[in-house]
Order: sequence, then C-alpha cells, then structure tokens
Amino acid sequence: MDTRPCSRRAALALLAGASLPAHAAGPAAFVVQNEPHLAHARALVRAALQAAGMQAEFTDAPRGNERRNLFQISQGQTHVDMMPATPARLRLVQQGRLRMVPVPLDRGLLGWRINLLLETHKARLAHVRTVADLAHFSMGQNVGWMDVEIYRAAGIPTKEVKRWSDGEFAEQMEAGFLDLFPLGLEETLNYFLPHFRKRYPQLTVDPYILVRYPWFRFVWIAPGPRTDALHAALLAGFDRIVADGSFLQVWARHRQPPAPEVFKSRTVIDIPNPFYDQTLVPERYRHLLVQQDRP
Amino acid sequence: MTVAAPSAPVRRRTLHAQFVRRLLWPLVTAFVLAASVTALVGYHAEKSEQDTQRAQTLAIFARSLVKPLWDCDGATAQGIADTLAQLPIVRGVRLQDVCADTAVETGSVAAPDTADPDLLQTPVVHRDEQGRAFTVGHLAIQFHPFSVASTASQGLLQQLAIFGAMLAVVLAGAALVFRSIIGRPLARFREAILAHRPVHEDAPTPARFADELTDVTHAYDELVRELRRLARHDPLTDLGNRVVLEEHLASAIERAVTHGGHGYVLLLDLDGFKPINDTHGHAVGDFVLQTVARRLRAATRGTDMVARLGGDEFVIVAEGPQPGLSDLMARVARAVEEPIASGAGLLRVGTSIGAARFPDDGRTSLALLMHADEAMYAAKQGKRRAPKA
Repeated sequence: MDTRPCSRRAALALLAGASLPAHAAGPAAFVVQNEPHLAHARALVRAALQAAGMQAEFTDAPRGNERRNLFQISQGQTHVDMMPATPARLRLVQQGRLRMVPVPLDRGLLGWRINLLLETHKARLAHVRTVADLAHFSMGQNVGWMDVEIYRAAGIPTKEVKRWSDGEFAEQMEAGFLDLFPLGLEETLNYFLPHFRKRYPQLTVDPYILVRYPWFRFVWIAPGPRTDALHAALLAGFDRIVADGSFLQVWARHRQPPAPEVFKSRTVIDIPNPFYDQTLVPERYRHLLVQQDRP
Repeated sequence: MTVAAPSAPVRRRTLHAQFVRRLLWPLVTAFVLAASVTALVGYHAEKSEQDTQRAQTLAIFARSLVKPLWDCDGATAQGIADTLAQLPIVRGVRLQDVCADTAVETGSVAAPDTADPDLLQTPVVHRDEQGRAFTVGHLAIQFHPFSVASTASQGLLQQLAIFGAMLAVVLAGAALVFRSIIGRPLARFREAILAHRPVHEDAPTPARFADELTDVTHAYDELVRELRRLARHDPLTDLGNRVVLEEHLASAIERAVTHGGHGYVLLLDLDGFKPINDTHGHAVGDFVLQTVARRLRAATRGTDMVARLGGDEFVIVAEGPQPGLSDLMARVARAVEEPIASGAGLLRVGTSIGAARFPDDGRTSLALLMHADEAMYAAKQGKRRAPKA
C-alpha cells in the first residue's frame, strides 16, 4: 500500500486532472459519503481539495453498511468515502482495487471506545478492570464492522446487529440480547448519545471504562481513471493542510478532544487490533493522533 | 310363400324406466358440457388469479430482498430465496447477488433468456433517500406450470359430487313428479278400463289443469257412457230396453212393498204393424215405432217408465195411485191408435194391452211380465174373436 508522501507522478496526475474540469465542464462532480457524524471528515476532504487547487462538486453517496460502502466504492459508484481501515479495505488497496489517503481523520480517537448501555444498567461496569472482566458482557456492533473481530480477538463476546444508527440496539438490550454497544469516544459524546436519546431516552454512556485499540478513519478513493486526479489532489492537499496546520483548525471546528473529566474514574483498557497498529498511519501524519490517555 | 316367424315377446319396460333412461343421457351430456365450460371459465379465472399471485409473489420477495442485498447480507438473502423456493406454487428460484457477484439457484429454473410463461424475473432495486435507483440483484422465479387440464382435474371430484347430487335429486324428483302426473292417473285409467267404468265415475273434481291425459280419460269416459247408454236403451226409439225395464221394475216393486203402495205393468203389442213393415219397408216401420214410442212417452207421466222389449212390444210401468187402470189403458190405446202421417201416407196401428198389478200379481219383473203378457194375449185373442167394426 502506498503510504509515501505525494509522489511526483501523483503531482503530475493532479495537474493534468485538475486542469481538465476547469477548462472543459467546470468543477468535477464526485459521489462522496455524507453522514451526519462525518461532517468533520467531509470538511477535511474539501479543505484538502481546496489546498490542492481542485474544484469539485460533491453528490451524496447512498447510505449503507460497510459491506455496501465497500462494494460501492470498489465498483466506482462512490468516489470518496471516509471509513475506518479494515482488513478488507487494506486488502483491496494492496490489490489496486481501492485507493486510500491514510490520514487519521478522527485523530485516532475512533479507537477510543466507550460503551452505550441502558440507564438502569449504568453501574454494571463499575468494577471492570481488565479485558477478562469485560468478557462477561455481551457487546453489539453493526454487521461487517471490523470492531467485531477486534473484540472477539480480545475474548469479548460480540454480536452483530443489523440496525443501530438510531439507537435501535436499545431494544435488544432490553430484551437481554446485548449488554453494551461501544462506539468512538468523541463521536459518542458529541453526536451519537444525543441522537440516540431522541428515540431511546433510556440509553446512556458508561462512566467507568475506556477501551482503546488502533483504529483509524481514512479517506478512500475509488479506483480507475475517473478518480486519478481526485486521488492525487487529496494526497497533495492533505499533505499541505497537515503541514500548514489547517487540518487541526478544520478538525477543531467540528470536533473537540475529549475533556479531561471524561477520563476521571475511567479505567483504560488497551486491546490490540489483530490487523494493524499505529504504524499504519504514515509518519508525517502520526503527530495528528491524540496522545493523551490520562487527564 | 313365406311364413312369418312368431314375433318375440316384447320386453316390458315401464314408462318411468324409459323416462329415466332417456333423461339420463341428456343429463350426462349436460354435465359434460357444464364441466367443460366450468373448467374453461375456471381456468381463465384461476389463471388470472395465478398471474396476480405470481406477480405479487415476485414483487413481495423482490421487495424483501432489497435490504439484505443492499446490505450485502448474502446469508439473509439466501434464506429469503430458500423460503420462496418452499412455496407450493414455486418450482425454483435463481437469485443473483450483485454485491457478492454470485448467482444462487434453488430448484429448477429455466435460463434467463428462455421464453417461458412460468418464469418471472425482476431486477431487485434499492432506492436511496434521494430516490436514486441501485440494482442490487436479480430475482427469477420458476413457477409450477398451469394448464386447463390441471384446473379441470383440481375441480373434477367436486364437480362429480355436485353432479351426482343433482342427478339424484333430479331423478328422485322426476320419479315423484312422474308418479304423480302420469303413474297414478294411468293406474286409475287402467282400473277403470278393467272395471268397464268411466275414470271419473261421478261428477269429477275439476282438475287444476287440463292436460293430454285428462283429455284422453274424458274421451274414454264419454265412450264408456255412450256404450252404457247403448247397452240399456233401444237405439231406434231411445226408450229403455229390457235391462232398464227390469232394474226399474225391481225398484218399483220394492218401493211398493216397502211403502204399501201399488203400481201397474202394461205390456203393449202393436196390432197391424207387421203389414206396414212388410208393405212399406223397414224405414216406414221404424218411423211408426219411433212415433209410437214418442206418443207413449207423451201419454204417460214423467214418473212412469216406457220401455221397448223388442219388435213391436212396449212396456209401461206406472207407480202410485192412478186415475184408474182403465183410463190409463184407454189413454195409451188412443195415443197409439192416432193416425200416423208418414212418407207412405196416413198409417194406423192398434194395440193390445195386458196389465199386471204389483205387488199383488207378482213381486218379480218376470212374474209381472208373464202376468201382463197373458193378459195382453187374452186381449189380442178377444179382438180377433170380436167382429170387426
């Protein structure tokens, strides 16, 4: 997989591709993933393209699960999405059927997981200290998420559910099918919890545990000549906005690092990602990762 | 010369049996026609229903496959396809999963480009929030064949049962109606014929409807009554004959004995009739007899009875008190002796009358007639001995 800085070839492609829409038919149109919790990622993509000097119009990609997203982008029906790196995606990248810009859009916070659970069960994890303790609970994740394999590899029983995006897993918790539904720390506090509680006010966040594993949201680009210039522009653009600090500025407009209070009284449990570690993030982007693990 | 072979005895078969046998074939034919038409109509109705059901099945399952195929959830999609393949009307299912780039076939399914009316196919299309269409798969359902024969065979037992029930009802009803309308009247007719009496002996209760059989029995009754009348009356003079005389006389004697009354039997023999008959012929003779008969009726009371014994002999039975026997005999003699105007001119006949009184002179018609006959003979002898005026 290509994790090197923007190459000369990419720069040439960028120049060639970026110039075409401007001279011919205006801004190039691309189908780009757009979901409410990805506003920061989309803003970063736009900033990168702007930094690379490429004008583009975005059309929203259809919403789907990871399998659908992967199919859509690998078939060239979606041009850009911003999803976590999974073995399947990395394998397609190796096969040349998918392209990625390995910039950590969530600054590594995606791998910082806190648990959603029923308000009535809020204290259930109060005495959990280790992975072995956590293995007594049943976790839920969406079908196809790589987290499933990470938790299972750590010995935590994990079930896949089909509907989750509006907090539907709360019904399965009440039925005793699930105990916990972990999501990213920052996205949960800033977006998911208030969103879920609109329909399921019985949901809350566990205050005792923080699970961490290497888990990065990257930018993915469909293969093929249609997206050559786009890929090159994103590689160059992200290099540029990371280097000049505007990445962090754009990110800060949408996301905030977790407040120190979040870590108070939380037990941090680190588990490995059996598929990759932090070296998946290129050296030049690695400083973006939030390093704070204690208040 | 050929000799006619003796004809074989005609097999007896009742009208009812013939009626049923002749009715059976039209009924069977009607059933076959009705069953054929029913099968045809049923086929069209069933086909329309099947077409709708097939289209609905295709649409419902295609719709249910959208989500799993959009989610690239091949296991769930396969489960739905397996469920679909279990439906009784489905022979096989082929599901193409675009996401997995696989085509799974369950059961027997024709090739996609086959012009098979039992093969229905549709793309499985997901529409996103913006209304954009994404083909996520292709569903082909091979349905079990559907034909007129299969429709007919499905309903055959039911139709046979209905036909059997209808046939039983029709035959039973026909038997009852036949018995009521034809069987019983014919039996009454037969009894009447064997008893030599009219079917409607007395004043018949007017039938609700006059039908052909009623016409026949009424005609028969007319015939019997006419034959009876001819058997009891003199065809020439229309007077009662000896049978009527004896019946009437027997009744009169019984009444006289019972009530202490009396009556007279007058036996008349015409004088001078034979020469008229011989001279002027039977036609004139018959005319004379008819005239005498009419005059005798006119000269007696309505309650008296006049009969012709045969030839030129007449009998009068007079019951109850009379003005007098001699007056009666004189009135009768005058009536007979009046000149008769005929085609042969004025003719004259006389009469010799013998009388018997009942029950004094006898209590049987034979005795009384013998008594009257003797008296009449004596009267006739007396006339012969007496000098002619």
